[in-house]
Amino acid sequence: MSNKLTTAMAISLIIGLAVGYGISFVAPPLSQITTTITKTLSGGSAPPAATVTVTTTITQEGKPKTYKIGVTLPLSGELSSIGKMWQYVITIAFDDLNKNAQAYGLNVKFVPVILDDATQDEKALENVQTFAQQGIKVIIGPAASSQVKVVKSYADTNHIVIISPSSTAPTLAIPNDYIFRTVGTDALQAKALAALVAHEGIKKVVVFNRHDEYGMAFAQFFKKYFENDFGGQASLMSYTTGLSDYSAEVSSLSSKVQSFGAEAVVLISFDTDGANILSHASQDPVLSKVRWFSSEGIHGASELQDPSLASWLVQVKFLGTRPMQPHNVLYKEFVKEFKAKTGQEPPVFSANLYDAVQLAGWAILRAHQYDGSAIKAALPLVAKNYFGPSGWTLLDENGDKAVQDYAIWTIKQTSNGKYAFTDVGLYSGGSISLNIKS
Amino acid sequence: MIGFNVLGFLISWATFLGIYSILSISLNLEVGFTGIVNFGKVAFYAIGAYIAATVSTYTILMLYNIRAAPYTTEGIIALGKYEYLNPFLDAGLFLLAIVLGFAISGIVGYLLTYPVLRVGPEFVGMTLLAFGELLRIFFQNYQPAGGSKGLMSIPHPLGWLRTPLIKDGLYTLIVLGFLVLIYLYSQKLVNSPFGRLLKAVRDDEVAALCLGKHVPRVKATILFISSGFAGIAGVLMAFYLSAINPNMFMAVVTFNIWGMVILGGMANNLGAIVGAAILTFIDRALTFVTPNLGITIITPDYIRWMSIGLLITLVLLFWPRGMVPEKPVETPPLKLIKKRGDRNEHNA
Repeated sequence: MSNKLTTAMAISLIIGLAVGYGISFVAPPLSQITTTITKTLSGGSAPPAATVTVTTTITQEGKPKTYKIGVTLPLSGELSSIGKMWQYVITIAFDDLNKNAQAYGLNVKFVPVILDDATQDEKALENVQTFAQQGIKVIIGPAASSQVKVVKSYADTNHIVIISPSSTAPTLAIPNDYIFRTVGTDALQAKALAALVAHEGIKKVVVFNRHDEYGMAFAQFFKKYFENDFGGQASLMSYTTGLSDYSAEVSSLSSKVQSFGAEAVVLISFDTDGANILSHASQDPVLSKVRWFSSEGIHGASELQDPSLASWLVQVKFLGTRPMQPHNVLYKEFVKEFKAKTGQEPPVFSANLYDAVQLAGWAILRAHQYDGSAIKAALPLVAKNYFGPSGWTLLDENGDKAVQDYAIWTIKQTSNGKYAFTDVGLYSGGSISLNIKS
Repeated sequence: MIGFNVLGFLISWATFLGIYSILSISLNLEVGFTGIVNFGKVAFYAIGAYIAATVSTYTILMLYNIRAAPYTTEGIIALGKYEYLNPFLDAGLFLLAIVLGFAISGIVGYLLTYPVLRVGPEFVGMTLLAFGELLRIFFQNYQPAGGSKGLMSIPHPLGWLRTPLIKDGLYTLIVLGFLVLIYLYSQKLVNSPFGRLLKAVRDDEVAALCLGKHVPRVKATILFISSGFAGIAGVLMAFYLSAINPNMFMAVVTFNIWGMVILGGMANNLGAIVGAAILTFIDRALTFVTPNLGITIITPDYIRWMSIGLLITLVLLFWPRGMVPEKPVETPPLKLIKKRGDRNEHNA
């Protein structure tokens, strides 16, 4: 008897579940109010830059609709020093995004889901997979280009939007994929550097670059722009990285400069290798007769401020380029807020990260649905109409920041007799303006 | 908010557990059972990964008549367009890569026996370490393999499946399937007469030679098999990540595998898996723990290495032979004795 009763109850339960499941498809959804808002997208409270129409859905109960956004940060590993500070940027960015959305009467809430990728390629993919399995469709990060490469195929196949605030590898400039970057690629900086070299009246250069993805790609783009756009001639010469001393490489460079008849050397390096190369070059008579140019990689290396090397850099009229933090009101506001929270200056790419969060949030709203393909389509439109701490976030056909200004820097002697890194010009909108005589 | 999802965690952890367990079993066959100190394990892992990447990407471009290399932007765009059009092709490429990964890594391991025998047992570790670094620098400079940029858009064998959970879950099962096969084969190997010969070579190479055993051939055979297994692990990793670059194959990977073997127990295949399970679990769990730590005096990096170092120290103090110590070879007489012992106990 009891067996029969148990069986009957189990059958009733199964039937009940099936009926309930079916009803959920047939029954009308919760009453919803569709609100259309024409709003101005800008970070913080600065003057408006442009307008865009956002339509969103608010549930009648007044409970905010929650959207989860994945964030994969380098909280440990090689980039952990900036990754940990970026966690504060994420907090500020999500607070501002939620406040702005609520200020426009949108009953929505954006929630960051943060995971540590340890600056490792494998962990970045694991994190993206974890987000995908939770149904998250938009992810901020990862930071490094090698990590973005690893997650790209997965993101494209599973329609997950990736917004990296700091990946600059030109090889990731691919149209119609799910990868977006809120920072200009190295190709843009290579163009700026080519323009600077040409502006200085140089026609023949030797590019001396690191033999890694950064150095190789930068050098190839420089050559392309310098030769095609400015009619110059560039000979590429790469050096093996990770050495403790580069004297042999500098000797080879000297021979190359002499045989090629170069008027200048373009150095694409990081700080420690670059400083070592320059110190050996300063002892070489051939290399002391030509001009020297560089990218952002060596900017900030303390060895360059050493009087003996610095005076040589002044002698060879050394100039370099670096992505400039736009001096706009929004950036200053952001810095103030960040300092109030941490007591420190925001690290590199913080503004780009802040804007990545804003773009993700507004693109979700603009898409009208939490769907990767719809958000992907909405993102460039939102970016076109958004101006934030990193400036205008217009994206190019590859989904990368299209407009990036670059400061021109050098080493100058200050009034107290010491040498310091000084910005002496600007590359903006394809033209160079310099404050010093070459 | 921390994104913890039990199923997702298990899937991603199990995939890495499978791949690293294959690597630790492979190292255990060399160092634990044969006494070959291999500090260049990562080289064979890299060979497998690069075979998977080059075979799959070049084949797809060739079949669809695309005249671009896979490391160029044109090649990457074309691969994105064509890589999941034919599921049978993707599966075929995966199987081909597994076979080639095993064979080529195995052959390289076999060939390395010659320098290994010439330098003598004291310098084997350094020779293999140097080979690993040499190979990484070669890949960094060899343009057809992507050079310093590496290769991306490696077609996932199940990439045509649209549900991430199913796709990832099935791939995890494939990886675990390979782990089971390799574990069973290794168990069979080490419990065979050849397995006893391996231990004889490990314990006293000169004595084994005096007894007429062909020690160089034994070492060459085991290097072929274990290097082949490492190649399979590399293939599985390349298809899982879909992108590789030379910096993934630094010497530190080898020492991580050494940590797994030491922790789990030398000359015990189950121990190798236990070691891999513990270290990959700590690694994966920290992904979820780190965002909760905020700014601390000790950075998460140090927490990871300190906890692993402490664990290895404790294991060596209390269980010097590892968490799962070496067991005697399961010879037929031993099995018989065990069986009789069990029966006697039962009767008593």
